[in-house]
Amino acid sequence: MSDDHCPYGGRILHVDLSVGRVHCEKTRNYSKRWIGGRAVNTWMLLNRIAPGTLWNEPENILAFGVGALVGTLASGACRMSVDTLNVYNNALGSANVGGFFGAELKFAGYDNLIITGKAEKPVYLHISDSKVDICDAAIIWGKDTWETERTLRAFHGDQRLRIAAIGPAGENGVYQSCIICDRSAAAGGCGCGAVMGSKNLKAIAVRGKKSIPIAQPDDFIRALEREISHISKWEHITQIRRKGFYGALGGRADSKSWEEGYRPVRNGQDDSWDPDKIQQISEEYFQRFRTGTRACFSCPVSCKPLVRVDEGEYTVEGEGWWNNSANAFCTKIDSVRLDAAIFAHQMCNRLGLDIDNAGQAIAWAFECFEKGIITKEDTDGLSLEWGNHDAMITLLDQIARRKGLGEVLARGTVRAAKILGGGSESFALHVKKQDSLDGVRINKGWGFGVVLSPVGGRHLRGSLGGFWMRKEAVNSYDGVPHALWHSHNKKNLQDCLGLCSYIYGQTIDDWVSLFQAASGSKCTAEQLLIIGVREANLEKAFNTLHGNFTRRDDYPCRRYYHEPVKSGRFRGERIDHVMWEQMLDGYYGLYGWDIETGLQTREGLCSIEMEDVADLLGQYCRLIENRR
Amino acid sequence: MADAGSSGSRMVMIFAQDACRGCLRCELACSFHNLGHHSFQPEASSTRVYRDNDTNRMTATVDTTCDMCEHEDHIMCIHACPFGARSIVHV
Repeated sequence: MSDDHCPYGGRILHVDLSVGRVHCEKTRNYSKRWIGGRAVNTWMLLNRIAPGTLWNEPENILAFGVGALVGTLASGACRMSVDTLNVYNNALGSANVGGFFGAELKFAGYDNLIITGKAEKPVYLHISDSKVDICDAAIIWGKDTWETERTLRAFHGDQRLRIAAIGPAGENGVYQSCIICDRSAAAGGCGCGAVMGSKNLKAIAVRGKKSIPIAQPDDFIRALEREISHISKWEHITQIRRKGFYGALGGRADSKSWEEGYRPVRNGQDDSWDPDKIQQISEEYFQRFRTGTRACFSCPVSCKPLVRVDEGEYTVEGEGWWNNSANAFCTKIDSVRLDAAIFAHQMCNRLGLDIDNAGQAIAWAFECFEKGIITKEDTDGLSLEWGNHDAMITLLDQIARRKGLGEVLARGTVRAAKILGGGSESFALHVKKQDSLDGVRINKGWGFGVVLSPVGGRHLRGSLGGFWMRKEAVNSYDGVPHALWHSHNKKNLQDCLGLCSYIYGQTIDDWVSLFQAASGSKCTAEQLLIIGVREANLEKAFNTLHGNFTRRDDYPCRRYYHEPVKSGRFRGERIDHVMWEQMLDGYYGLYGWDIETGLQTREGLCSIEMEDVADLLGQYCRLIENRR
Repeated sequence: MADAGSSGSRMVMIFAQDACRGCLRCELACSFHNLGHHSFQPEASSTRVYRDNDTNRMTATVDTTCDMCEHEDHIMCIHACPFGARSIVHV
């Protein structure tokens, strides 16, 4: 036991698909500085991808990083980070996924899986402990993610084989594609599926029998008992277990989510919706389609609903339905057909499409149609009128298969707007060129988080602090920079530990106790949160070198300044230029970044022992040597 | 589902199919007991949980290595289940 590296799988697996070479190195080389998961991935990307590399070149890396506590009984310890070059901007692409795949990868003995190169023909990886095979993917290429899982499990005779796969969208290089783990857990955003497809890698199938060692078992059990008692006290836990996340919170007709701007209407023309329409897609109506809930690995919450539509033209059975599903397939296109939206969500699971990115592209197309920039001649007769759920379903399939108008939309709306023109750029809602579904105008903390997200326009990577941690009114700018700074560092640490953001009640002290007992380290909360600060700086440096991002890339789209909210409690709300500038100043200052340019400073990086990153940025003249 | 016993009364483990959400915390906890409180590995668990993707039904098995958590304060799989899917009856 003394040689065990607690609580890790112990190795990092490198696979070069171009030459079919596989080798390992020890996790220990990285874990002391970066803990695990996302930060190890980002460190690999920063040091091993040359600036100027494009997402679809073999030199790009697709990194899977399992959090340090994954594989233990820590609540919600199932999360895996997927990091690569972002298809939208060739800067940072980063997604985080639950399910069971990450834990199984760790049980096979691997904390990170680093994939480079490109296979000559479609392949899949079969990992069974130390045995790693690159296999011909002829039996699964072209199949959807569920058929891929079914086929591989049958082929290998193992019903507990865990699968991460791309669907047709990833195979076709669609920007809105994602990687689906275990049928419905999505590594979404940034086109991770297209990156995997560009490497001719259809799937990864893994099974492991290695034990995850715990350094101080008695302390670990005590820490577990404490965190469970905290989680059990959370007021909504019983409702979430029974109804899932949408059912218990965001989807209720009386939820504030409908009025506080998280659900933009008609491609963000408004942030408030007709109460009669809300009623038609609310939890009160949704419950007729819910047949149960399911949990990810080691999760005591179980927020994922099982769904079934058993009559009408959208008959479907599947799993998963989130608050953003309602945004993408209902409010954004002004449709009240919940059955169609549930069907669309299940299409995304199987086609390997990201709900937010795909939903946003469709909403943009609908607005193009409203303004006459797209006509029926461009859509093969499809009428993209607001509320047309049939058209939404057709477009989803066209995007995944790059057919019809989908061929244009599959490049993301910024590029599609350049092709179509006609002023459509002004309502191509994006952050750092990535399609962004989220509302920005009303809740300033949420909006600032969406825009400052290092991957561009993804609320789970940016907005949690703006949502949960501020006491001020939602439309106030007060306290936003500090709340976001703290929440970004916390989320970074959470992803390094592999814990889920939806385990409410779990405290940072719980994280510290669990990690101390599991690893045997004496890290304090302050020391662990510094790793979150370092990870923010790693990502910032990567974006500076690969995306050439500066302050100018940290602003919302023009619509949010110039078109106020049209109706509802926050009618007239919009983004104020001056206040936004002040928030940026405050946020940059907290990280020690240069206020004028947004670039990192030597002083800031050295204060958190990142001299090597400062030197790297200095080599490319992308560092402010003396903070102004 | 039933398994294990001792002299005198017999303990029977009940698995409530509809309550199980498939988190596998029972397997993790059982493996911790079976591996001497040193590590986690579901393959070392005496109980296994399966999901049928076609029907969404959960099933569970308990094999002969189950000792009903001798020397533990709790029966680990029951204690670790957040959803009340496992229980014991004495017959």
